[in-house]
Amino acid sequence: MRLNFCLSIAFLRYLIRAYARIKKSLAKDLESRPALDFGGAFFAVAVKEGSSEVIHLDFNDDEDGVTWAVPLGDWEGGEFCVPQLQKKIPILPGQVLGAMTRILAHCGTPVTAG
Amino acid sequence: MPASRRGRRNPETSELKASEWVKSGGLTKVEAIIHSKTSEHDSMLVPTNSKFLSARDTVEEYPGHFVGGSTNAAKVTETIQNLYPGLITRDLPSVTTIGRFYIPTPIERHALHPPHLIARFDQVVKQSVNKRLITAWDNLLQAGIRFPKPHLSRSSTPALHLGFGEAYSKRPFVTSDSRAQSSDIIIAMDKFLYLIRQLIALKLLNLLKRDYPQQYERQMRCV
Repeated sequence: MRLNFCLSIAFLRYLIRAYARIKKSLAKDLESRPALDFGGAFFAVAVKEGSSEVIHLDFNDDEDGVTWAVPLGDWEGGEFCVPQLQKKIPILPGQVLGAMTRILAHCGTPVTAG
Repeated sequence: MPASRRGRRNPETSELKASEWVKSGGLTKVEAIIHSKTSEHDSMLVPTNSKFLSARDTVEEYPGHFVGGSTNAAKVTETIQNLYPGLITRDLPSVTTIGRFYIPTPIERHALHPPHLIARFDQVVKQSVNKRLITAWDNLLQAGIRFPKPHLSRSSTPALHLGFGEAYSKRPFVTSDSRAQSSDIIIAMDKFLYLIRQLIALKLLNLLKRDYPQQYERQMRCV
């Protein structure tokens, strides 16, 4: 797995009116860097190569929101593990995963190829 | 002049096309869609791939052990170890790799929680999009982007946080990973983020609107 994006409302404390709040508070930043405006779908992108192998919670995400994981590249392994569900969820190229990562502890299995 | 094979009115062509469509799985897909739209069950609560996942597949304890609790990473590890002693995550049973499915939030869910604990969607990122984003990422690496130190409570390798944040602050701000870089790097970064915006964000916004209408409405509300 070359890349794994976690596209999230990470670091936003309140989901309600999140997009309007960003547009109002950061109008100048958005004007100078429009690429930072994700249209309200999410507000931050956590980008890394490989998976996050330690079980953790996304403490900074909103409890009521959805975090998206968008893996890119070509890989084997890197399943999304959720001990509370006693399951691991494979994500193949082309697929994306939405999860409540503030209340479900999770991690990725190691990427074995790619 | 020989009869043309073009056009739907030609019965031979029509039959050939129909048989190709059935062979390619078109009929099965349509049946699955009809079934999902007309099922007696609440579609929000039944996973699409019910062959592999029953509606009872959800968390044993809801809303869970971590709601409103400590934000201490060590506490999370300790709780998981106590709940599942000897857990080896790679040995957890795997769900199907095929297609879209949902793990529903329990029916008595908190009013503001999403309807799905987890949802996986298929065929969202095209191969061409995958390639374009990887190329843009490689350009960003080549420009020499600086990574922060890794959060060892998550991973031994670092992650960049690009975009906006609000944690520990009264107002939203542009994250330092997005700002504290040279102008060349910021140009490469913005090209990368622009592709994410154009090729990924709009698709996810549609998924949000369709499958998480309450989250969509709250997130996008203006007043």
